[in-house]
Amino acid sequence: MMKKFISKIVKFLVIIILFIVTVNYVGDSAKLFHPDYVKKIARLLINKSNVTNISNYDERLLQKEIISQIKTAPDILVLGSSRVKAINSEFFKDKKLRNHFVSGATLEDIIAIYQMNISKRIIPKEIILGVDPWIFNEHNGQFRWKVLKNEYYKFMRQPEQTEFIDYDKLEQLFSLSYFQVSLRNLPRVLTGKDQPVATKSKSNLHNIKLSDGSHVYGDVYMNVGIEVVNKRAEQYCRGEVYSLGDFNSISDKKMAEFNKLIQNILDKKNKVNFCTFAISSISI
Amino acid sequence: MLFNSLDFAIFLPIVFILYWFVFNKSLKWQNLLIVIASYVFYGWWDWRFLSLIAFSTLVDYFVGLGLLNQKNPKKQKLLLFISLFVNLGLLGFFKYYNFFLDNFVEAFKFFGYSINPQGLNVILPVGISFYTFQTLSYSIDVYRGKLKPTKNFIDFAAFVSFFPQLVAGPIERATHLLPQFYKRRVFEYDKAVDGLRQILWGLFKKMVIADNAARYANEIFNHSENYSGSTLLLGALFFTFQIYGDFSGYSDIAIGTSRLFGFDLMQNFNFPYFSRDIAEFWRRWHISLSTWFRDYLYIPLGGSRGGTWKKIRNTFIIFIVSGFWHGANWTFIVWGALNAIYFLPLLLTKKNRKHTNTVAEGKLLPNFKEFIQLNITFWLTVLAWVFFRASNVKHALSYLNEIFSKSLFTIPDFPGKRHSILILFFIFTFVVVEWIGRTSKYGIERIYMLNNNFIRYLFYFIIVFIIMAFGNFKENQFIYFQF
Repeated sequence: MMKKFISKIVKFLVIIILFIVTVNYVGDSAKLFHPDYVKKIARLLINKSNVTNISNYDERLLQKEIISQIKTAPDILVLGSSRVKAINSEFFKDKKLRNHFVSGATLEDIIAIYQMNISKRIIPKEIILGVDPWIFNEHNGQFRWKVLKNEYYKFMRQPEQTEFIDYDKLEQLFSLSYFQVSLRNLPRVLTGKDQPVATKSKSNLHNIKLSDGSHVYGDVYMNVGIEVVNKRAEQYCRGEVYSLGDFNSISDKKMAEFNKLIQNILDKKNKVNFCTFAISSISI
Repeated sequence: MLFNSLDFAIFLPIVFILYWFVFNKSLKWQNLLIVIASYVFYGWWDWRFLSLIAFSTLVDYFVGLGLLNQKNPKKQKLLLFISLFVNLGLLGFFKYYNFFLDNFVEAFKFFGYSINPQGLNVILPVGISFYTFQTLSYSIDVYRGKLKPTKNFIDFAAFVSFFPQLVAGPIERATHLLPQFYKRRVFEYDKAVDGLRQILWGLFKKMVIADNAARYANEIFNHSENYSGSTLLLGALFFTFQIYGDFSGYSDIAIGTSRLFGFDLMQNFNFPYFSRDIAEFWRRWHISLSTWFRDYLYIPLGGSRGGTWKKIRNTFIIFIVSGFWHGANWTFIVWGALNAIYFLPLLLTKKNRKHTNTVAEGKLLPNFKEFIQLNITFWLTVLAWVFFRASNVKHALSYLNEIFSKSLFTIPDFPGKRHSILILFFIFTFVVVEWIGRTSKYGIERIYMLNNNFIRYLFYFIIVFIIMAFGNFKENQFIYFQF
């Protein structure tokens, strides 16, 4: 009887686990198991196309991919979080700009992306650096930068880490939270509607990533009524302040790293402009 | 350790395998494993409070032995007093000390005196209200001669700390659970499968119904000043299903888990929202607590015997104490008193035991009269839950005031309104399934009667799928942990 019981449970669990793994792999809402997706976006951007119909991919991997394909240095390099995402070439008509923002960028992200650029000897004359308050918070709760950890360690002159198994990915393969988002993405994958699309347009119903790396919000998001804006603002204000919920003090360690980065930029005789914001935005 | 956590999903199979394959040589070893597993289960949350369980266990074990050897009624009373003092003392110290202190300060302030005593900065040990009541039932039953005390400390420690029901019940009677530790358990396939089925249903109630309803209930209750009467009513409705899904879901998982180890726990919920009056509701809601208060408080006070005033007094005492058991806040006391007010007319007109069977038994739908009765009882309960959920009495009154205003006739509007329609659909489906299974011990108990294996397994897979696709995996605590 016990044998029958255990055998039935095991069979039941195996079917469920297989189902979860299949949905997570195929639906793959964050494109963790489909690196071609990011490569395709990078290829389109490098070929000077704007890209739309993109969502929820690893922005850090995209930056890595873009930088690996870039051949020439821009005049202006933009680094920071999504709060600098709208800075585009039209702001500086006579200069060549490249925006390397990533959502919720921490100091580690900024350093890693800067490091990738200098490793390829892409040294722009001017850097616009988005300085968000949470980059000085050691408890900002951000871990997304780990994708670029080796680039960060390289700049900080710390030993790089090599992992034969990507445990984060493996965890996501079995994750039920990832299952939920991948399941919602599954119909788009199965109908082939989740692929990035090249466009010449700079405005669209949905978000567009411009060829200079900057971002244009879709009309659906941009043109909401004042009531919706107020509600979202109210909701945001009720919640914890983004990445500062667990803030105690400005971190000396982060401050030192920040100074090291700035010194490195100045040592190369480049100019750095800080871009700061008075208030926190809803979309980070 | 939470039932809806990965930790428990690993813990349970390990204990199951050890229990049936390693420690199965003797009853003593199996009971010892239960004690160890239970202490690990509880210590996962906060190991420091294990000492409280151990202390309570030791006191009641020795009180039981003392009662066995003591023939002097005065000394027997003293022993019972020790048990009451220790258990209620622990409860009072951790749960009610600050409440009484704050109220004394307020009372002094009212009379123009200002005092500033030191409050306690302690967290409430999880499940203290449950295990203290369970051990008390042992001492009282031994004192009353209803139960022979055990000499085996391991058996007793296993009874007090039995992990499936340690932190949120059902509050088992010693007369029912303790003897199960004396008998050798044999693995029963049907019982284990039934246990798993009940666990599955409990997880559905907790993760799909309760945790999703909680999102909206929390938003609406926490910012009630921003919402119309219709939205507030919807918020109360969400809370109604949140608390039911949460608590009865926990009970289902607890009962189901116990069955995997060969134990039977008492039914804690019997489809309370299908009650035709408040008396029936209270026979179906948190049965283990209601019957505990009935047996150890209401009946000793005289119950429904005696004159009208005595009946009224006893009814108010039992409901207010029951409310106060839930938490050290006036909201729970008002909630209890409100239920007493609902209940009194039935008691005084001797209609409190009118509905002892299941509504519309043998029929698909209730008749018109039953439908009206069900609705009246349900909505009275919904309104009472406002006091249970509100942060203070003033909040509850302003919440109810807005519900009974013109804004009740507006369209509800709150963040996530569109997604909430899906949750309302799940709640509706859940109510339908519970209605169909209302004569069973839990909603899907009779699925085993389906002879077609394919359909039966398909049903299980659908539930698992809904849990996986729409469940909340943030390991939300169970509401009753705070009590």
